[in-house]
Amino acid sequence: MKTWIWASAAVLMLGWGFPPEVPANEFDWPTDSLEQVHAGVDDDRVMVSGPNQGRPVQQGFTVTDILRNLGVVAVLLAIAILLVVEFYYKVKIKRSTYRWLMLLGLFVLPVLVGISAMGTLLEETKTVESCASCHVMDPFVLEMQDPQGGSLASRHYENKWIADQQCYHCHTSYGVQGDLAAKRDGFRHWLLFVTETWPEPIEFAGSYPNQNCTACHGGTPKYEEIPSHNALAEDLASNKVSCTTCHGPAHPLPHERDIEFEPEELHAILEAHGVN
Amino acid sequence: MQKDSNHPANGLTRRDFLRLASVTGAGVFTGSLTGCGPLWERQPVIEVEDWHQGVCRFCGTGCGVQIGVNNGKVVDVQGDKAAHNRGRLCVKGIMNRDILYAEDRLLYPMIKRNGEFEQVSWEEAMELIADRFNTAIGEKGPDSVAYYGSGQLFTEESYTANKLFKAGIGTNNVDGNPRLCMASAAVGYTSVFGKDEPMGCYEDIDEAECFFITGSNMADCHPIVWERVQDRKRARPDVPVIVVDPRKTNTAEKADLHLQIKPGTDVSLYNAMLYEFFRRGMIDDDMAANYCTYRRDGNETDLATLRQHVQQYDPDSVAPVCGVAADLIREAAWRFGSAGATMSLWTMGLNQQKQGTASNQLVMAMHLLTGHIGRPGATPFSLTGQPNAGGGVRDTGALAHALPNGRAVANPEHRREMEELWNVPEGRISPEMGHHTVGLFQAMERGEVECCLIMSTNPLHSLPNILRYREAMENTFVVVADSFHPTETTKYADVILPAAMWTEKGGVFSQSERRYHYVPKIVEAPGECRADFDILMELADRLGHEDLFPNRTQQDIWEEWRHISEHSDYNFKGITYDRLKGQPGILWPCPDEEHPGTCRRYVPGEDPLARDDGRHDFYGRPDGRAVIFLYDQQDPVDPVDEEFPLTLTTGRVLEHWHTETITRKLEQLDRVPTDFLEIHPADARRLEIQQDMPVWVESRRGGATFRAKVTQNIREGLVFATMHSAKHLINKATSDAYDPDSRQPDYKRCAVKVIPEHQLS
Repeated sequence: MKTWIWASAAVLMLGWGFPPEVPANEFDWPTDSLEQVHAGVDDDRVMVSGPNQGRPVQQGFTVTDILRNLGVVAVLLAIAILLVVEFYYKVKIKRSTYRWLMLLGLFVLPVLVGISAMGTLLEETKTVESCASCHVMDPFVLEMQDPQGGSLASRHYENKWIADQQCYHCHTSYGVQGDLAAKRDGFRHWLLFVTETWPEPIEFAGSYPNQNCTACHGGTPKYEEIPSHNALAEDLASNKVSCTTCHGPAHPLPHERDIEFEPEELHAILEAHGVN
Repeated sequence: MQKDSNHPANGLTRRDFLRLASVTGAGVFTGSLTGCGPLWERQPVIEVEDWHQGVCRFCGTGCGVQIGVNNGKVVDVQGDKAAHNRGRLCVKGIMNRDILYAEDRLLYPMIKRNGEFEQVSWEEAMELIADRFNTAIGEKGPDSVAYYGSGQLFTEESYTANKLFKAGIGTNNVDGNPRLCMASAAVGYTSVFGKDEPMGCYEDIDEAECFFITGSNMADCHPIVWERVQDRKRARPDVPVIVVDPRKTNTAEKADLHLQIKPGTDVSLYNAMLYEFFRRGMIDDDMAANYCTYRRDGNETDLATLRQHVQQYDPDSVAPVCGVAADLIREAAWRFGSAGATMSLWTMGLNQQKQGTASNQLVMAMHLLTGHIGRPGATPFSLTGQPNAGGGVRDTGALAHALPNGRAVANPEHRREMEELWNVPEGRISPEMGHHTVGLFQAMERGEVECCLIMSTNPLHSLPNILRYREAMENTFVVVADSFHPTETTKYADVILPAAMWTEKGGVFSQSERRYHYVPKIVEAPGECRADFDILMELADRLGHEDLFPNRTQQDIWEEWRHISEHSDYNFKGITYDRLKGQPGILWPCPDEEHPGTCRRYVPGEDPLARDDGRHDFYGRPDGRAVIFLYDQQDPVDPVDEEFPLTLTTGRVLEHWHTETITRKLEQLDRVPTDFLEIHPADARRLEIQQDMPVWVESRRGGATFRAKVTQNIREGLVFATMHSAKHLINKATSDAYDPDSRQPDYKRCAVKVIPEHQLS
């Protein structure tokens, strides 16, 4: 029984252990977040100076914040209920009340904690630092954050065309709404990683879903006035032609990747960019 | 509760877990090997069995491609990440996947009888061709036959044609569409540095600190090189991009300085920039004194004379001539001269004018005098139009005045060298220069040339003033080898031969930066199509010149050619088929098989042929010094007047290639219109022309109908049409006046009138 309590607390603390310095966005469907990006910066954000200059800073609460705080409250409440009821009120209250309180402390509140933890986790994994926590991603994250980096990713980052969660925005299919193939890919990546059997250089498998690009760019006058876009309309929609063919590469090519550096070096660079 | 680690419900130990995961991981790989891949990995939308390294079919950028094949058909083409284009392709490059299967492929040889084409056998067609060629040569001599080739054939093919006609038949009537495209640049480089082809490379773009882009709409015509320029600009936003163009093109749109010049006034502009270099003390004295000589009208002169000469071209005097503000010229000159490393890029805008060679020479002079040459990022770089104009035609000397590797027909020593290398009797190569392109069609008009073989090009669309040359074609026995029919040219042919294209045949291409690279034969040609190489070999046999080609295969020809190059300053002996098949090309000079190729020519330490002393060694010149030519601005050949008050210039769009014989057949590209005429709103108002109105454009030679596109992007008094449209041929109007040195026609400037079609009576 006590295992349950500690487990719940541990899950929560794990979630708590990644306090987002770069604040998370609302836990939204990606189209909404992309629209926000397209429209500019949210109303509830301001730009700051310093290392985070130009990057949005959250003001007020988001759904994620509420969800996370709810989880904290739930776990504290559950612990309190269980301790108090088990060691103090057990003999003083009716058996049925005891059972109801136990149900609350052991099942209802932990489910809430679970939802909260899951939400926090899903949200946290959208952040750049979450992607950067795996060193396989180092060459991509480093180049993206290099002001001289010329890749599509770097330009979107450096020019603040995407406000935050830059990795996730172009790889949304990995998110919770991604299809089964994306989940399978995630599982495969994870397997390759833990077994250290991934093939270097890593490359994007299959055809890139252009919808990730056209969600923002499609339909804009700038996009529509290019005759090539009109010519390739069907090929782009069916991903037979990738946007990156003309506008890429999205990330440094295998021979352009600098993967010889120490983790400390990476984190120093990330820190300098205001990302922990 | 007792722990039982063997019970499955109690989970896995860490070790068990890792073991299981390893097995699963291994399964992922073996799975993908045994056909279970699709279950495990995201798959490409287009299923591909094999990938082959190759090169794009289209422009002179020469992008490396990976060609995906499935069931014996090309199904996908992607940019080669290992090549200079870093995996990028433009829309034409992507469409390589469809070009082989486009409509209107010519599948059988045909002979025109009583005005109609009839399908015949190869035997019958080749017999007729050989018969007519032999008769003409026998009756009227070798100069009564001609070859008109293309910068789109493989090097082995152009080389073979050149050898057959010059060393076999004994005529120098060998020319081709590069004359319409690159001749002014070729003559420019040869006259200044002694040898043709740019000295720099694409890598210079990554180092340049100022771009001077003149007469080039790179964004549309060399999009992937332009992307590299943009990459540089993105990494270093302070690097200025100066664009000289009469239109506000997609390139000019991104420029820091746009000099919207009047067409054909380049000489004035460059002289004004030279004036500014002198005035501001930007002349590199060491370069000017020790690495250059000066020439005016064929006579030796000096720096002081040049300085004196450009005095009349001060920006204030030049401004009204060029239609560009004097301050803009001063600013451009300042940026050009003061940058750490300036790179010039140019193409048809410079080449296709009456003073095309002069313009080329002056841009090179600007680099020589300011010392912006032979350093990383500092180079005068001419962009090539076609996928193999450089290696196939310029380097093999497949032009009327030229012999291989920078030799000239007019030079007896050069003729003797080639006769020796080709192992033909002394005197076989005619001392008479052949007919250059416009001259060739005029000779056909006069009946002097009786038979002409045209390969892989469409001159009756691409020549200037084409109406005149239709009759010339009627007068002549014309054989056209092409992959498509009908084209403007096949319509007027007597025999048409179905040619294999791109990966239906293999061979070596070259591109702007002297890179030789290889296109493999991957798929079978449709119908009875044959490679142009095979056609040429059979023609050689039938004309009795089999001795010229003791080695029969294309690879043999390449071996012969690379060994011949060893006896010249173009040495690429180290470039073998095997090496080319293993990497996306090599830049010559490359004298041996260990040599990695040369990025910057004429630079001691980099160029294996340069002698190791000084900053440069322009070894193409006997004295090792580059030549600076002095020029004056000339008046237009076809000036505007009251009847023809507007100036017409021509160009291209990104989505189409040359005369549209390939690109118009592709469903996707067919959506992109090319039959428009750009006109300034002020002119449109005056002429009562509205957007999309059909308008008639007419010059002193002829005219065509276009759809009006009223736009601010063009100068007032200037109209623009693309060279592409086959339905509305702008070349009925263009002028066939040509540069006296390069013989390249003056497409970029002629006088026209524009009338709304409904006003025509």
